[in-house]
Amino acid sequence: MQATAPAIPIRRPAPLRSSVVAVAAVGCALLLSRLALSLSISTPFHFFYGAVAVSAWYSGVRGGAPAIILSILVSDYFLIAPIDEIAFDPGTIFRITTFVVISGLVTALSEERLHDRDMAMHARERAAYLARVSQILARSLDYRTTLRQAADLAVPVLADWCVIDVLDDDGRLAMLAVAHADPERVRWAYRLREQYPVDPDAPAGAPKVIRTGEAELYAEISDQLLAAAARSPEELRMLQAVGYRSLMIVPLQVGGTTIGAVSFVIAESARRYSAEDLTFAQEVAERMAAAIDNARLYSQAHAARAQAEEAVLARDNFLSVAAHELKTPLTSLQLQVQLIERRALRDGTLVGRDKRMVEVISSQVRRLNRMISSLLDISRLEHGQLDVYLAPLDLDALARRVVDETQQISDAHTICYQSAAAESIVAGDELRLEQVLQNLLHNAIKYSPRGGQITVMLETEAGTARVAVTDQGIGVPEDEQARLFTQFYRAANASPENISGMGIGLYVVREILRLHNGSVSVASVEGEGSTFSIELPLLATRPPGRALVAARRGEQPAAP
Amino acid sequence: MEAPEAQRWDVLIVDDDAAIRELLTQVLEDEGYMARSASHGGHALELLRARRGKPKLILLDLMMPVMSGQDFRAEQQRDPAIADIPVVILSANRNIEARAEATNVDCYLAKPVDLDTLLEVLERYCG
Repeated sequence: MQATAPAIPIRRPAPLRSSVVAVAAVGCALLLSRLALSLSISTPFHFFYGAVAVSAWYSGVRGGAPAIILSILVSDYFLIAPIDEIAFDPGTIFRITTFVVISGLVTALSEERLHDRDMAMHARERAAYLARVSQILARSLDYRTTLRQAADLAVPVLADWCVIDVLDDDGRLAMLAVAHADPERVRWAYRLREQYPVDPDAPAGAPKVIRTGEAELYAEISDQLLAAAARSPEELRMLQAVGYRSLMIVPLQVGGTTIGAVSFVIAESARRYSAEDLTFAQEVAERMAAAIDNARLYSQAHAARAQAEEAVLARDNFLSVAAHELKTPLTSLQLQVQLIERRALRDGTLVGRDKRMVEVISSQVRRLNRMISSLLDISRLEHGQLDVYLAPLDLDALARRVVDETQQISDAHTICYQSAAAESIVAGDELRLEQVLQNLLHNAIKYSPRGGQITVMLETEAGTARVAVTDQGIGVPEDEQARLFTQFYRAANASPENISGMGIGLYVVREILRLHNGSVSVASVEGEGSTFSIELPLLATRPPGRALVAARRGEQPAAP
Repeated sequence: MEAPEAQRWDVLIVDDDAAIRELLTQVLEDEGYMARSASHGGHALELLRARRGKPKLILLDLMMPVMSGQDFRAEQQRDPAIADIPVVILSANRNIEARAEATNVDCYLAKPVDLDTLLEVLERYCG
């Protein structure tokens, strides 16, 4: 009975107390029976049924059985003729048998009821214990501390000793926690472990459980078993000093790997572990392992994040320094080429071929500058440092100007500007929106290598202004359109050999528009061309005179 | 290129990059301005304090060895003799606007500088 009893103690009255209740109940029954007898009522067993029922109710078989035996003896002696002597005549045996059968039944039913009550209580206690363990483990991500607290919780409910061993990074078995009711014994255990480190290759105990991943149960540990496990007389003395009586060791498993083991030891108390206890201990260990797993994942994620942030910082610093260093020679290049252009304009010294070359230098310098600036924009965007200064802005005038300027740098393309808008005042940052339109136009030129017409169309609709830039270029494959606005992404048909680019422009465009509460989208058929549209909310206010100017505006191609 | 005794002095260029100093000088002289240049803030202060006349404008780079543009500006503002000379910052620094504000300068030009814009600024201060 003891060996299979769950280690969490059942709160059942002790045997002595059960017997006392049984004797008292039988005594009462005897008194009542004598009283009845004196009134000439012959009821030899009636009151004893009550005595058995009370005793069995109180403590099950433990009370019921003595009550039955006592009742038989007392009735036979005091109540059944011949009085004052034990005698078993056939009539008496019949009465006694009837009594035993019925009161035995009562006792069995009571025992059943008590057992169910105990089991329910037991289950509640375990659930409460598990909940408490989970609560402690969830308290913090410092699993070393929480596991120590969880081990403390196991004593004395589940064990006299609770030891948690975890494999460290070097594959050594480190004792993470020891719990015992007596703090002095805990200190002793730590000293002991220091003196006798656990051999990770040991054939039994925690090392074996960690190796195999299988839980072990030693319900009864005999002296012979201890002697067999000890490697030396010293170790045997140590094991004996711990006082192992019953032991279970369960693995701590994270993602299929065993990273440690929890040992539950019964030493001083009279309990012994059962298979049921082992199942419960495994449940506890599962929760402990999950806590370790969480903490490890968190610290890994934390480290990865810190590393990533460091890398981003290093990149941004590099970009910042590189951009600064690149801009210095660019300054001198740009000034020189502009100086040449200015002098040529004044003196008329530059003609034909040379003039064209200077134009090319000038446009390439501008391009280089744009590329450097967009690299800087990216790191600014990521840090939320890209600011836009919103002011009322005539989108029509801006688009017209950008179209004019862009037309001058490409002879192969005809850029056609159309405005269908009555008015197009938006809250915008002129420099940034200029950058957006320039980017879309330069893309339209870049991605239509055979030349052709580029149409820029301004429309307004329901409080929104839309500028659509349509080209007849190579287009964007449909399944890549969504990713076009992400950083460093370039469509597969824009091969680096044919069309250069860093995959930055459209990302910056999208972000600038986002800062304007606007949006950018693409519609394209691969091989036929693309339309990139930006949308911006219109300003409600209408500057005086705008409508008149707008009314005269028709469809007109931009100046070549 | 220019006579050290020249009385008229329009612009002081302060930049550590020799190519840019030379180029700006050329640009300015093309437009008929008298320019002198210094390679860092300390040098610029020397020039300003050694001469009797004052320039109408200082074109100031920010990142320079020996004495940075910010330090030069602080020194200049402490010296009543030269504190009133207007300064235009010329820098490739990505936070040029914030820097201009921090150094108490109203006007700044981001490098690479557009020639037309530069000429407009010169016209405003020295014209």
